[in-house]
Amino acid sequence: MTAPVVPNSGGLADVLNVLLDKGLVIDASVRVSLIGIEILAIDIKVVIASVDTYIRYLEAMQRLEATRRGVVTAAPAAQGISGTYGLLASAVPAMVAPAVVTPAAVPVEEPEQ
Amino acid sequence: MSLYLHGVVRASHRLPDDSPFRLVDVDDLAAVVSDRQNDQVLTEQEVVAHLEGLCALLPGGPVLPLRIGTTAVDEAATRTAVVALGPPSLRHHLDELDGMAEMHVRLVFDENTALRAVHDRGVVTSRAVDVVAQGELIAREIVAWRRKEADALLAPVAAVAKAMALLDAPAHTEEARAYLVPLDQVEAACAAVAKISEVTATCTGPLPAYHFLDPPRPASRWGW
Repeated sequence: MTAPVVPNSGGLADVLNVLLDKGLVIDASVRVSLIGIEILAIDIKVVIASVDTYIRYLEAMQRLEATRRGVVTAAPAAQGISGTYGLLASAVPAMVAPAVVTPAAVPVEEPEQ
Repeated sequence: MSLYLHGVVRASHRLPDDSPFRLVDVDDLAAVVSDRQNDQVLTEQEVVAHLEGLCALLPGGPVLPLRIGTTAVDEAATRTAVVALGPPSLRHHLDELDGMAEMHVRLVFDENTALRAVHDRGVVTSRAVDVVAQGELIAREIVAWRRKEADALLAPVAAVAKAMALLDAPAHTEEARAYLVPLDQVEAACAAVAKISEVTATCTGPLPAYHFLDPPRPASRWGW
């Protein structure tokens, strides 16, 4: 048998995310000390489907569709937490000129003499 | 001082000379243990050392990994714990996994390529009526696309593997799989992954067979 390939430590650290809650579990009489290593599990337990991701996907679909129809649209500059392009730009209120309130002339009653 | 329990092997298993572990025999089985300072929590280094130590045992015979952080107060409690797992079931697992190892393969696809493929299928319309619903649909389509692509790219690995398990991936455009391969095919599997040029592909192993352990079944008193 050829010598097995020993994984490097970086690979192992990545693999640990997958293996943390795996393996045979002995009954409750044997305690399991997991304190202090939860941080390793964060990567895999993060919710992967964020709204930002969905927005990015939809914007890409819109650009692809526009390209298919022959409408050339350059991708706008990325912005937002995960590089979204502003699909929700319409939700941002446009700049509105401040209303100038001109007080109407108020008739002043002259006291009768 | 208590003990960390790392895994279960056959009592005849020869540990490597530099192994940080020792064996506690339970009839023809043995628990792989190491000393533990009381009231100390596991550090990241200890967690990596646990996995490295188990990987190093694989050339010497099959290894059943226990969940990381499992402890016992002494050797007597260790023997009780191994018996509680069910020696017949453990022997069955050891026989099934003899000469086998788990390999993890990760493929990272280009997001634009994936989105273009999904768009070309015409399933998703670009009208964003409901961002979340549309986003979920696109994500599902990406996962279906990447799975099909991975099936094709990893066919050479599947050809030498006895079984495959899908793993959780951190992104829609990433495919993570565990393959159960014979130890003498480990290098062939890694070489097959290294040949993949279309996407970023990594191969890690050999690892103990974490994803190919059926839950232990209680032995029937009728012997069925």
